Amino acid sequence: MSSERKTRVLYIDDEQNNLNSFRANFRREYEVHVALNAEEGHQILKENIVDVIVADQRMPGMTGVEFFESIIPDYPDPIRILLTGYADIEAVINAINKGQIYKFISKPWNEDTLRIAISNARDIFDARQELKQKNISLQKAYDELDRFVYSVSHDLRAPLVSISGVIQLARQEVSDPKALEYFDMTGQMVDKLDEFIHNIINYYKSTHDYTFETPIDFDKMVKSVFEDYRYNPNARNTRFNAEVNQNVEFKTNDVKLQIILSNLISNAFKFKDIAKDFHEVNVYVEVDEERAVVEISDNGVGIREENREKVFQMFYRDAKENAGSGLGLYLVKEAVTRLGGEIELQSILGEGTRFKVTLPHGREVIAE
Amino acid sequence: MSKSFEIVLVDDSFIDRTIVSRMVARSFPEAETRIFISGHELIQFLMSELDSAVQHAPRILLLDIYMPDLSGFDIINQLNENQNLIANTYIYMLSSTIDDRDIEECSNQPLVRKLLNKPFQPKSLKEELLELGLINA
Repeated sequence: MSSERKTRVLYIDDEQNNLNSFRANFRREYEVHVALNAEEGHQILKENIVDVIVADQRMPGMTGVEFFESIIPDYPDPIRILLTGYADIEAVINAINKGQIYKFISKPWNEDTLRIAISNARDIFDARQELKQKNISLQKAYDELDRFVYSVSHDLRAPLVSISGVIQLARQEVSDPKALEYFDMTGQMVDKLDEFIHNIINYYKSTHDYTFETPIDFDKMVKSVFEDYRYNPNARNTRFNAEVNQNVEFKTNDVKLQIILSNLISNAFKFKDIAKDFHEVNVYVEVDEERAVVEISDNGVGIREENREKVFQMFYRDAKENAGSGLGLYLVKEAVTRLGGEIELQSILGEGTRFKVTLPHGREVIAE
Repeated sequence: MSKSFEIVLVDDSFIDRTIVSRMVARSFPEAETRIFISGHELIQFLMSELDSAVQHAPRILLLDIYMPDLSGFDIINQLNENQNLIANTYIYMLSSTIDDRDIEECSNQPLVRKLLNKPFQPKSLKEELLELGLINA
């Protein structure tokens, strides 16, 4: 593990004799720095990088533990070894709690014990540095991926949204029924693609958002999902009803909950039955001390009995005509499972569909 | 007769400018519209207006976010430092963004009244105009 580089050791002891013999013993193997007191120790740390610090506990002015405690904020990296007499149980306890010591060595030290301890400490130092470097590059990779995902999503979405604007303009200005039919078709495909982009972004977000304790305001969340459909031309003749009963605080992962609500509501809104006089989307939320129950129902086309399990599979699409990516319910199911909840589906073909999601108060369930 | 309010749009996309200007013309014929393709053009115009000392009608400023050179937020920062350019002006961002950081920045910017989503919806602007009392229900 240790590379060719000499281990850099700082040894602090108020007895000059000990410093001398440390230096005599180890100067060939290590880059040795010695200090007679805390002040000198600080000075050395200011000017040098060290891997391991060995400090005597009993020194006038400042104990070894106090010294370690004082350097941790500025120099957290060096591995700390404390030299102490048998009687110093108090020092041992303090060392653990405050000084974050790697090892105790009893005084007077013997050369081999100290050599082994320093060598192990060096290994730990190197391993931690390596881990730190990896964390930094991992964080960098995450940040780059973040920028990539968002810039791609914007570059995909901006032209899509322009298309949908042009279609809306065309709907207002063009009267040829054939042309209008083509615009509608184009519009449907644009919506589908846009939904797909949303799903990808949400899924991406939920894979590295680890908070499960975000307080949720269901009323606000449901309203904001409804808001997305307010100006949607496909939502004409659709009645939205929401009832939210939330008197207790509910915490969970908000990104995952958002995925669940927006996909279920979007489906309820989308799979309408044009044979009926009007389309209806109902959301009912009940939160108590134990759980949150969310029910989302519609009077749409319904799902065939034999397909009810399959709708949760990735890329499965039930409706032949309707615009779905086959991703929505898969993501919903995944999010529900991850939040430790359950999802039930009731549906009667031609009458409508009801999803019931039950979620416990915030905790994560690790996927198998 | 001077128009009752102005709608000023800054967007680098030709198609998006077309969409907004035609929809505005259709839904708010009483508004005077001005269209700029960059923040520089906008700021230049606002500066020149200062010299002329003519009082303009209440103004709705619609800013796209993602634009080359000066982004919508860069424009906001410049306007923030030159508040005399935005007298009697209400600022909205108009964007297709779904990036949480953009959404948050819009709500953190005191100058930005709201983020309006693309494609531009006359109805959403109408609600704002009603709230501002620039049109009647």
